Amino acid sequence: MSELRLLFEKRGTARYISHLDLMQVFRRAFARADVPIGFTQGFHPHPNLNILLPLPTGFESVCELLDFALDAPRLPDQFLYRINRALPAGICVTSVGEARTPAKFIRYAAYEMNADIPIEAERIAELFSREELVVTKRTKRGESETNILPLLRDLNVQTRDGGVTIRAKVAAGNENLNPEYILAAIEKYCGAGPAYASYLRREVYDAELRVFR
Amino acid sequence: MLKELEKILPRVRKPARYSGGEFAQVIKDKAAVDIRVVFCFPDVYEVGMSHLGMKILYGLYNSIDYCWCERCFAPWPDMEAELRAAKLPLYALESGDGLDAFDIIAFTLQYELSFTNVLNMLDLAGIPIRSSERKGLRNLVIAGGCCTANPEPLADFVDVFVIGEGEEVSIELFDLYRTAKRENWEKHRFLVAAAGIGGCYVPALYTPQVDEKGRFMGITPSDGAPARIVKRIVKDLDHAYYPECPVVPSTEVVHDRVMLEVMRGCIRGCRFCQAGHTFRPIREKSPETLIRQGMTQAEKTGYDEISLTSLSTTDYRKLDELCDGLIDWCAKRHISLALPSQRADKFSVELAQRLEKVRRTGLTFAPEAGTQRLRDVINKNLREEDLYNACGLAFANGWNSVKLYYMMGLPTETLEDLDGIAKIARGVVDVWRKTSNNRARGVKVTASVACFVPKPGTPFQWEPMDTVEQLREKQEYMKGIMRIKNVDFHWHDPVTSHLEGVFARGDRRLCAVIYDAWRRGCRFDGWDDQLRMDLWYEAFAACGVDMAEYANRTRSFDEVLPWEHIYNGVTREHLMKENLRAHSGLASEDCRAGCSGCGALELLEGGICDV
Repeated sequence: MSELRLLFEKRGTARYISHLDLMQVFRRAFARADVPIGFTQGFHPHPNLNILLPLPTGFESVCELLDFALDAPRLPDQFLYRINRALPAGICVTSVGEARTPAKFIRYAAYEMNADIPIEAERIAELFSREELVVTKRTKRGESETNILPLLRDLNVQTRDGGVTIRAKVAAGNENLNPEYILAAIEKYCGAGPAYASYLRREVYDAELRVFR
Repeated sequence: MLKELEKILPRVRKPARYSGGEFAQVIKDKAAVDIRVVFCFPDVYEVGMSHLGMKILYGLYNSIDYCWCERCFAPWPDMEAELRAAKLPLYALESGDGLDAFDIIAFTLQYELSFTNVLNMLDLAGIPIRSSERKGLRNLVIAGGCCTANPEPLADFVDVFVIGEGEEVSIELFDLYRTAKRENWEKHRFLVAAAGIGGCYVPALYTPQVDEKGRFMGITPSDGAPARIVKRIVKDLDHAYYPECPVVPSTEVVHDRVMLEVMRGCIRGCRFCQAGHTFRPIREKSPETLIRQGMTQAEKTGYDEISLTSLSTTDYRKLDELCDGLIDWCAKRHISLALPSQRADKFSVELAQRLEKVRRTGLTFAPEAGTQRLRDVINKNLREEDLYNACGLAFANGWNSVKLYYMMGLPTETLEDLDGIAKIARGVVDVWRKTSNNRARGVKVTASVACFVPKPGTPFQWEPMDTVEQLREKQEYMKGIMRIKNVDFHWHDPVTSHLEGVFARGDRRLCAVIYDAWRRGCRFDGWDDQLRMDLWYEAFAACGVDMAEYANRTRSFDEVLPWEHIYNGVTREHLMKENLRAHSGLASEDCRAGCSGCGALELLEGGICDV
């Protein structure tokens, strides 16, 4: 049985599928596409599927990774065509390969967010060039005041019609920063009220900022 | 997707309920179809997407070239608030278009306590709620489903009720609508013509007579509408449409599996059971058809469970043959095969073990009442020994949990009958002690006791329901006697059942109450965390309607009941006879042991029931 890795997009209406539901979506898609996947051993066997870096519900992405065990010598012909026909709208597998690098090597994820806030790009850029930027972060152990700047890299802001576009790489994997905290910081320090923002995960990287696959 | 919607969805719970885009949803070119239908389920997505009837009709309607059928579910209050704040109409999931863009708005009525949601969904789409306020052909509101056994509480709001099974009649109705739309008919002309289609009930063409107190005395049709609306059925179930690939939700729903309907109707004739009477006559599908449909649906949907559904699947004659044909195929694919519930007198360990080849499921039995006397009254022909035998076999073969379903508040019930529920629970634990081969694992017996609600179309349609106070008293008593080791006792607050009991046997005076309660903010009345009984009490008071008059009154055989112009195939004579037998403590044979001549055979027009 070989471990394979899918690269897929999650866009449009599919962004509202939660992480847990997405596993079921893929299990069914493999069944519909007649691609045999491996099951775990034990009393309650379940399909061997693993989504590497959970994406918050509501975010879009062009770089999701899913590992699965193939229970066959090789993938069926026209695998991409078959699996994509079996997936709901908005989910599209763009490539498949061997799962070589363990997920623990993921360190950063790049996001693009479009926020409907009436604040100039320069002011936001200035905010993120400070020494320290503390926001209230929810953790498993409750709330904590966290300086988010060490968890952020390459932040770039552009003004657009009706708001700003922010691109940044944030810590992902072991240490994690939800990019919503970037907006939370802007709200806190620039006095912008809660605003709508769309999120797109563009890429995942390892510690050396090499694209992770 | 609309930009405005994108802004709302991150703020609501479970946004996948509202996004559409699921696998196998049907997208058509709206310019290329003659009529657009939206199938509305007046409850949340997870409940509606579990409903077999919707899967069948959605597929069937979309198999018609000239028709595009989409879906819509009741938005949870958080989403309703967002839609109203953003001034967005309630929309269909496939196209995102507001419901007001649709020719036909088709509701399914599965539960009396979803009635306010019907009104709310229309209102959220900016559609006038009362039938009389919708002047044109557009936005025709139709409704079907089991609550149409008594459609009167919604008579003011619905243009056409479809009585019985919808497969054939709704297509006839759509054909007529298509003609009417093409030829620009007035709504009244369409309604009169629709009333001529068998199974179509147009409430606006019927005028109820009431006495000086407002009590229902009878109903008079006009414009040539029939005095009695006879339920429609699909005569040949084996060749009826069955969906190959229903929409597969991308988020978890209540029944998330292939539902393979093995038969319609039930041979048992339990006197409390509405479906057991209104779904007659009995029609089975052949195992060949079922095996083919089960495999096709499992392959196309990717589901990992096939459920053999019907009112009483263990009564399906060729169950062994069906299971033989599916089990190995399923096991190879990690698909489990499940029976929703089993009759204890037909329980087979062999069958249960074969079914659990893939996954072990719990055991559920429904004795319904605690003593043989009361089981005879309700015609639940199940003996205590059968139950113990079934449990003993199961325990000896490794099961260690059993669920038992009961009702309280049944006609003629006494405390002795309630004691019987505790006695059986103890009995089952005793059986476990004697039969289990692994006592270290322990046993769990769950007894769930629901409140009996008399339903129209059943032999108990004349019976008074217990009052809320009586039911609460009985529950308190039960809590006392159900403190038994290894036994869990489940109950439910009776106010919900009481409200259900009012609407189940309601008449048109309740239209005003429903409207008023909805205005006051009632929604999702079947949900404990949403039910606002205070508002309901205000609404009943404001409309001068007495709840007890509907729920708790004994009706005499002389009364004309408000739903008797709706004919479900079982004659009044049969229901009366069964009612009298109940009060004499006499059980009746099931349909296979001896036909009781209930009348449903007539619906087959020369065909044979239960072949």
